[in-house]
Amino acid sequence: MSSSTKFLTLKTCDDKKFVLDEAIAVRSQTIKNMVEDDCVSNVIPLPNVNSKTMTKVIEYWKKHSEEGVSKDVLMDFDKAFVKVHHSILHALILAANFLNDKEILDMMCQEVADRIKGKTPEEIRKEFDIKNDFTPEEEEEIRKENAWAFE
Amino acid sequence: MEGDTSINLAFEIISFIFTRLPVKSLLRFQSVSKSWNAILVEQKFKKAHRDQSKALGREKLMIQRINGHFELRDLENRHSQLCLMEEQLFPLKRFQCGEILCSCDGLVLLKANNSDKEYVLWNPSTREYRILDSCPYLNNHEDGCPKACGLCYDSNLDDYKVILIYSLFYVVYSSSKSCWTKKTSFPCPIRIFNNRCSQGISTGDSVFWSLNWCLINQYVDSRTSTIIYFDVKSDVLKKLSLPEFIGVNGFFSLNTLKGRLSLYGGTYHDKELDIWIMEQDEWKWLINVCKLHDICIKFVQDKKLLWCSENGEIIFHGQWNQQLIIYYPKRKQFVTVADMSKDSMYAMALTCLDSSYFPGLNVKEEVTVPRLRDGARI
Repeated sequence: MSSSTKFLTLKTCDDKKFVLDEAIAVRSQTIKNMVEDDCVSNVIPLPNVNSKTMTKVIEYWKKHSEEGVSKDVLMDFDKAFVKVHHSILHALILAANFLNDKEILDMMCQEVADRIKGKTPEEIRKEFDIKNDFTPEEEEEIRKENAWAFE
Repeated sequence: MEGDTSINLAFEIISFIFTRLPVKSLLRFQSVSKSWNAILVEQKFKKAHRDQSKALGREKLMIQRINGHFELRDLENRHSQLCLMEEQLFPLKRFQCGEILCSCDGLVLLKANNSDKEYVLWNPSTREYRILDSCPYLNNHEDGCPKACGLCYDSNLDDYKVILIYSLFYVVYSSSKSCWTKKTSFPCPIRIFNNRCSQGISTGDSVFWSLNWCLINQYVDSRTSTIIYFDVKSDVLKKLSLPEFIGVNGFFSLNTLKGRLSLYGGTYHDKELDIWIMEQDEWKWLINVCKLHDICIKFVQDKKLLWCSENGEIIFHGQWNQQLIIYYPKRKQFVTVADMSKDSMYAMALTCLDSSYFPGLNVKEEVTVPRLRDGARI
């Protein structure tokens, strides 16, 4: 551990403050760039992230920064970490994207992919709240082309 | 804010999620909406999907049964290992019992039943295919079946190339330009002592072949064996020096494991084999597979190495009895994959990437691929 631990204060969109070791916070490429460019004032505002999501992100960062933590422990942690309601999952993706943390983004996107891969187009529309803008003929045509993928 | 966050996912993120889906889901999701469809049919997206699949090592096992049916089997799900994902017949009759020659990035090269001049490039995941223009340099009667063939990707030119090697010359097909080139300079003489066409192993910018399995009266002499490779950047065949660990009585073969070139083999008498993997231009020993006598009488030369899982389980194709065998290194035990009946003997097996990409005749980047599917007329 470095002798002079520096702390950063992060402020989420709902005005909650998180005080965090800089060494951990720079897992976010966005924060890292800010620190490197020396444009960090007292508080780093995170206008796109709410406190509930940030708590999850920090939980992940802390676990993955633990000294001597084993691969198996991290694997179990990750497995449990992604088991969240889909609204939180999506919020985490947006946060990871804003914070530019590729590790969390990758893991969360894979989780979404695993959850939706077996679904039908109807189920997808419902889950993502998408309007079907094909005419019935157009939809039929596209489905016919890939009919075996519906088996 | 909560509950409706899903709508706000940017297209950039949506397409990032898409690259992590199996091809079959992608084809189904084309009919979700116009905007999803627009992303999914783009060649640029399909390439990103191919690259992601490659990075994640998302491979399937492709098997050809004696009756011509192709099976795709699951390699990813550890709990339902090798379970059947789909089964299909190639839509054109003359390729239905054709020979699978090699694969690269989810594309498979298939040769017609009764002709040594007809080849088709096929993506079994999307079921798109394209018949190669016939090669003007081949004479069906004189040249016969190629001694070796391969498929590889030229990332500089964004071009898939097919290489067919004959005794006196070789031909290279550019899939983006649709044309054949003939070449005659070999790095060493091409001698192959069995009649099977040597299957090219593509990895990175090259495709490799192990040649000259000299099996005369069961006597093996690796000194006559060579490894050659086609270097796609310079467009020529080159020779790779044999690693020192291959002894006089040893013989070997090549494949890819975890995206890298691997070499496996042993000596005829040892009844065990070793697997090495190429890492930074050096062969690194990976594992020893012992007790081969438990599964076959023909030992090493009969076993084709197919795949190695994260936890070290290895899948072989036993060519003599045409079965799939899983080796469990911890238990040092072989298990034959069970759901076998007489007519489902496996003539051929290889691994194939789950990729939604199919190369078009790209004059420019975004040319749409002429899509041929089931029932399409040629």
